[in-house]
Amino acid sequence: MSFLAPLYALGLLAISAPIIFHLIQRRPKGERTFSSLMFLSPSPPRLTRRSRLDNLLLLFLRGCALLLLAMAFARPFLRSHLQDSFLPSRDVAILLDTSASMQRADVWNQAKAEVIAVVNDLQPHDRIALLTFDSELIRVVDWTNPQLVTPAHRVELVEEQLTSIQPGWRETKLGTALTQTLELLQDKEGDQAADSSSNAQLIVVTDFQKGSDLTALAGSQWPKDVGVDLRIIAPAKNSNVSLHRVASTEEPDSNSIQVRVTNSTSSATGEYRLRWQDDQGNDLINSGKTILVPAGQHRTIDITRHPSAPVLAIEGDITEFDNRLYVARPYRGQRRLLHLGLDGDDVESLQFFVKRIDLSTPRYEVITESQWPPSKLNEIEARSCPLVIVTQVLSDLDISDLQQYVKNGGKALIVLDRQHAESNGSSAAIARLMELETVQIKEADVDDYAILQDIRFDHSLFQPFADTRFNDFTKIRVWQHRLIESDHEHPWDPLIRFDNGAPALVQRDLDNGKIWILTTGWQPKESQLALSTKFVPLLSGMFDGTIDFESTMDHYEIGDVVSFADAQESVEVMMPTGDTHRIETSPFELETTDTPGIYIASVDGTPRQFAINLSARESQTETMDLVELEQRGIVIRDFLSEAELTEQDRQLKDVELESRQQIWRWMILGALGFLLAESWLSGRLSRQAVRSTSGAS
Amino acid sequence: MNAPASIPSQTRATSFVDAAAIMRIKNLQLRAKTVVEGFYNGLHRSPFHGFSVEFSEYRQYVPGDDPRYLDWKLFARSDRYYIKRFEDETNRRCYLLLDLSRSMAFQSGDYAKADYGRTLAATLSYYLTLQRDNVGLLTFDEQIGDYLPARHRSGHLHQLMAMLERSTAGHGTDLLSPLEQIARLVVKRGLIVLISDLLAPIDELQRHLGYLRSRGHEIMLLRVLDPAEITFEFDESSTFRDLENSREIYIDPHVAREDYLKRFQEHAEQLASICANMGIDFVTMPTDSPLEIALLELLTAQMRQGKSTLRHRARPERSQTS
Repeated sequence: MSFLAPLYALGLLAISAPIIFHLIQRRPKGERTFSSLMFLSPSPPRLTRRSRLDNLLLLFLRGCALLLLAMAFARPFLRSHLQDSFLPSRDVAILLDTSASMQRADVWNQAKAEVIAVVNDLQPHDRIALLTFDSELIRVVDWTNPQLVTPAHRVELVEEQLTSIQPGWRETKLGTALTQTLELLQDKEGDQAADSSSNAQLIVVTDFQKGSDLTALAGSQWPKDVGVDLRIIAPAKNSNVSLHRVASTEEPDSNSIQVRVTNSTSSATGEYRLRWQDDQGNDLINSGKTILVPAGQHRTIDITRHPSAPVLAIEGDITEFDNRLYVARPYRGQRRLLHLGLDGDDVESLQFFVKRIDLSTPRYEVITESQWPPSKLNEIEARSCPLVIVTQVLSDLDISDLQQYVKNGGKALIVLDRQHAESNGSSAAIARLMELETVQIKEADVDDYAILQDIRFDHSLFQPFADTRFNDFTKIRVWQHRLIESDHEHPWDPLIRFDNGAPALVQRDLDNGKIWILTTGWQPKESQLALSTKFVPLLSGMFDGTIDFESTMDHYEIGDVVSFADAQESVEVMMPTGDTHRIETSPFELETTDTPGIYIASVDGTPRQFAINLSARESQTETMDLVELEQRGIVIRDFLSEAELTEQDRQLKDVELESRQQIWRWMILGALGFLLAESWLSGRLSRQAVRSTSGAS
Repeated sequence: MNAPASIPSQTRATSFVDAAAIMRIKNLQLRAKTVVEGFYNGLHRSPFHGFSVEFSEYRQYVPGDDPRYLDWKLFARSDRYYIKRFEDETNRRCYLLLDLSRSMAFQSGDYAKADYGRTLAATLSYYLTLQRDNVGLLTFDEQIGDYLPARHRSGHLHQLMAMLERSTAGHGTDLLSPLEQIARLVVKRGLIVLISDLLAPIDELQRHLGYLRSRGHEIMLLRVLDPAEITFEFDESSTFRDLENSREIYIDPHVAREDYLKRFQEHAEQLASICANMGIDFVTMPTDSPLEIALLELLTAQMRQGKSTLRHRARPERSQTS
């Protein structure tokens, strides 16, 4: 006989109660008053054993009644035979975290041991799949077929696979991993629609760090029947200090970078040292600085670049995986300013001033080039040569080449100084270049001097001058200028006029490009333009105005796609591991950024560096609260091992058996019977006693 | 001066009237009269005869003294003026403090401790009235019951007896209030006779008695105890209920007797020691002991007090004359 609630059998102890009561001498009923109890202390009740137990039958009946009552409460049932317990098979997906934070001390070994333990706990007919995840989900062991794979083989298979897996450098996208695994499980269930007894379970072996990305869970509804068992592996010391580059507006050529040092709340110390290291990981002496970051806080600091050190490392942190920050040398592009005109060092020549303008910016260097006669005009392109200044009359061929260049997005500035305007065919050449039928150019009659007015400050070219501090153009005096006219209804857009109403600078758009015509020269003989403060900003605006500047970032995070938008033919990237990756076709993008370090790319033969670093989220190593998952609807359910499952099944069967047999009812009836008999017997005995006493008296 | 704290010996007790017989007399005054007269009869044969003779002293007359008190006979003999001074026996004040708390209601025989105490008070007051002393009475339990100031006049004794007759048992015992009140009321020094069972913690008793003693009063303690309290001879185990606070505990007398007697004896010894230290006359009066013993003790105390007073007063006179 078995019992459903064996603890109730403790009620059997109650049988001893009548016997004990029988043996204890009752407390005397007599009461006595006394003047004061100050000299008395209570006496212990005296146990006196009676020489014999009276009414053994009565005692027996009472004992039996109590026995049956206690056993009835213990819910007895008879296990006729041991049923073969058939437990339903389960689809168990084991998700193993291989993100960078799993590289922490001993976490990985514990995680592998946990996976093995889970596999050992499985039932023989469970189907398992082993998947690893960081920012991507990888299937390592596909659904095992219980008919083909024995439990021992299954363990071997998993162990073997685990030896070849190592945690990588990617960040933890737990949300994505869970949703994708759920889809896998649901597909599997779809395949086995007939097998209704199977149920799905997810076991996630992870460090469950705070930086885990759960956003993917927001959009989906988690099914109630799929439980997630989270096996959290956390190192004994969870403190971490991390080092990350701040995506700031800092200029690449400025001699410093901005980094953020974040300290976790559980850190014991707050003083750390940043130090530059060379390629081999050797510390460079007298480099870096000491910083103070109290636990739970972060500091953003400027640190001076080291000319030869690509690595900034933090000292004093026990969690090492995120202690190195790779810093690439910034890349600077090259641009060309093409001048089509006579070269010369005469102060009164246009070229004199063009050559002295430096339009370089931190992102690119501008090389000014003068050509006359023009050569290979058909080869220039808007990306590398954003502006062409024309100061001579071009040949027809050159005009069509230039026109093509402009239409492809290039910009041309035609300067009509007196020499240019008076050259033969200048008006025809301009008309042709601007695709106008006629253009008339004639010398203006300037009385003393002309000044510039009606400036279009709403135009992108003059927006930098719109402020009242800079919008005074009246100091620029123009001694000579040309009048330019056309029969066309709306030939151009005048951007500046002279005070006599004649246009000084006009713009005509051709497809993607622009052509400007300046109707005066900037040399001192014609005007004060080149000597004014407006000249360089104006030319700079023309040069940079519509430049299609490609991405030349020099730092990325692990898993980012690096795009080489300015590449034309091929890109060859040398990885930190030493491997080389060659991209021959557009789009020129590098996707395999799995290792932190300095990548050296050769874009159309031009070398360029960029650094790949860990994601800042991955450095948030404190353990997340389980509530975060539950709030997103995830069903947290402990995975039951085979033994636990069997026990649960047995208990269910016992309850069922007991409710079917209901032996307790019979026991209650028996107890009632005994109580009736006891009442009858005691009544009879007391009547006898009364009779005998009355007879005696 | 050490007071005898012992129970009077059996041999002496036999010469007195049996307490039980006395207690059968209903009228309290008659009881008192019987005891006192019996005591007087015996007293004439007692070795203490003569101690109670009053004495006087002489002081040389100084101008301003009342000439009524001049001893003319002495003047006649010695041709000097002397003032005759009497021992002020008749103006002695005696206060009887009678404890009527519940514990005094305990009785193992025919009468309770309170009855015995009442008879004691009646006897003493009768005796003192005969001696032309002022007698006052104060009954108390946990608070003051009746109070009658010390006087000597006709009808005072009757009033006192009536008060004793009607007094009933109260609740707990609180010695402090009556002692404080007496201290407040009695400015002149006198004799205070406290009739109680003194079943209270020893340090409390010490504090209260010391308080009274410090006011300069002579104190006499008559401790009334039931024989059962002294011997604790009970047979059956039963629940013992405290008469004062109704606390109940289960007692097996066979087990508890030894411990009780030990603690009771300790308490009694401590009490006797305190009284000895404070100069208090302490007499234990079991309710079966003759009432005359109290008179005898009173007499002894008076005599002792008289001596001490005499000595106390004579000393400065001597120093003056010498």
